[in-house]
Amino acid sequence: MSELSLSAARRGALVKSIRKLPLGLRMLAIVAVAIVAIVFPAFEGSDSFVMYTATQALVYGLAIVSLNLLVGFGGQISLGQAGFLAIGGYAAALLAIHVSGLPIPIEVLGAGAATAVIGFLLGLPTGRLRGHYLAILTLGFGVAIPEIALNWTSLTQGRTGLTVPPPRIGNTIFPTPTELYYFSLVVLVICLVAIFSILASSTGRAFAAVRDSEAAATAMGINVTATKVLLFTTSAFFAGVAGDLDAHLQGLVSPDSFPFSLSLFFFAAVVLGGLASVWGSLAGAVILAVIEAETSSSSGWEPVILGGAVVLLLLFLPRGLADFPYRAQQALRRWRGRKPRAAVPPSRAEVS
Amino acid sequence: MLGLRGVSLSFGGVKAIDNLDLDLSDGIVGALIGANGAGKTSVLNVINRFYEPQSGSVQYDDVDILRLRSHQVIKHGISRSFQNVALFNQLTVFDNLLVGADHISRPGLLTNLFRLPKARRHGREARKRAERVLEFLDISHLRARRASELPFGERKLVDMGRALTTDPKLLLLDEPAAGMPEARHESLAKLIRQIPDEWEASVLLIDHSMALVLSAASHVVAMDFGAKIAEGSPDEVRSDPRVIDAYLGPQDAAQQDGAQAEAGLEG
Repeated sequence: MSELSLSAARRGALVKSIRKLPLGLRMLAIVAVAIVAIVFPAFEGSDSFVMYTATQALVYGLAIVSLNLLVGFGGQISLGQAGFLAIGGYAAALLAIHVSGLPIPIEVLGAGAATAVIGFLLGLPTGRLRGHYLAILTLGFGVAIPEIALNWTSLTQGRTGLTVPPPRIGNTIFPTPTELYYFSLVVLVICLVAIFSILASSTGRAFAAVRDSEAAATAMGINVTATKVLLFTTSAFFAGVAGDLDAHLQGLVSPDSFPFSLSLFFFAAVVLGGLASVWGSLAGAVILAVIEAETSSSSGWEPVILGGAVVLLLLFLPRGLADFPYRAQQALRRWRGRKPRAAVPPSRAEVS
Repeated sequence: MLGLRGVSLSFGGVKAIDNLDLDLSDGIVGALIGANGAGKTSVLNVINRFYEPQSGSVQYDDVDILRLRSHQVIKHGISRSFQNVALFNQLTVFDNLLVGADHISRPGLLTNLFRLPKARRHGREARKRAERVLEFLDISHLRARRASELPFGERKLVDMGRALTTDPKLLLLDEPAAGMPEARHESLAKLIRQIPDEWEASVLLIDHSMALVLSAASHVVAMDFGAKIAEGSPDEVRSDPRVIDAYLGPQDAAQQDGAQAEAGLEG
């Protein structure tokens, strides 16, 4: 194992720590977000474009959290996450088309599992690669998947794509925008609970240990390569589920649904939201969906606006959106603390 | 019982370890001393399989260590700390310790996801073990702090604690006193002396600080240029002429003979 140099332990940490509010305030914020998410369709349900954008935000939320598992929590890199969404989307479409009456939970799990298998296979070589090499490999994956979908016409219908029927349980189908929204919301929440459960366990600690120091992780009995493969598999599973949701939202999967730029937008959203922050990633997803919706009539502006947002954010909130509550709280404290002092004239020492 | 026989390791033309024999009985604190570059850390890196020696054997109880991969070494009870401290920086002190305890039973992802009884039991036991280590090292007040926020001396303690939570039979400590004020060396030596009784583990200690080594260890091996030059009780090794030569250079040795222990014999 001499290739495992001890200097790996000294590699600069990629992740800037997210500073958190006290637990009580965080709980309050989570409840508030949950209430908004649940009652949202009651106010906007009649506007199908708004509902579409909101549902897209949920789907992107899961995709970006799955990428953040890799990048923020696991210290790996992927520039091809949209490739996983594509596999999940096609798997969902094929399952829904060819297996009549398939209950939606089975279809979602199937799409996730199919993508996890691909994630596992991609993880095998990536478990031994890092840094730039990993970036290039995943980039190649992200570019290759739509090409494969385009040319494997017997399975994918090529450029025409596959029409995806609405989600169904038994004989009930859920075709309306509001139903699709709730469907996506339920799946997202279940996935988030699962992800939090994993992150809080010994598996999540192993991911973080490999991220922070491969040498120390090895000395603590963690098989670094196996852990990276498991991380890729897990990330791919949730990205595949996001692909399933996306397929139902669009009603169609085609090679054009998963351009390489989508992978880059996901990556930007992870940074925008904050590395190793699930809530930051969800916020990044909302921003990504809104920018996409606002620029849908003037194509080409989306990357410009998103890029600008990333640059501005890195200037003012280098730890990402997830750091905003903490910063706001600190600013509020300073403001409160200053008010009484402002009445006192500054001393000469302070003036000079 | 740890036994190294004829271990040699070189990088290109540089001999880091030269035909080294080393024995460490169970239940004691042993120390490896030597100047910078004498090959002390390389010995630890061979024992926990970070470095592949060109020749020789490493035996621990009945296990041929050189047949293991580095992450498997801990399963046979050998744990270590790091010279430059390799903590999991973004995790809290407590989580760092938990990673150490995690190897005892490693529940799979699905077991963890559904929080099956096995995962919950593992969590309870890991936390209990980590609590005991916090108490032993008297760092309970640091539990919720992020490892990256701590000063170097405290990071060294956490590093040692993480190695202890793995339930080792043999603990390899790489310069535990580095970065600590000298005033704390004696209390650190006391902690290390307690490890064989309190944790049922033997210790192999590396340090520059001669005072710490003499106070903590009952068996000392001195190295120079990768080879063993002396072995025995701390007093025997301290007064060995070859050790004095290696540390101080032959010409100064005669005058400084008496002052060496106080001066700490920094390499």
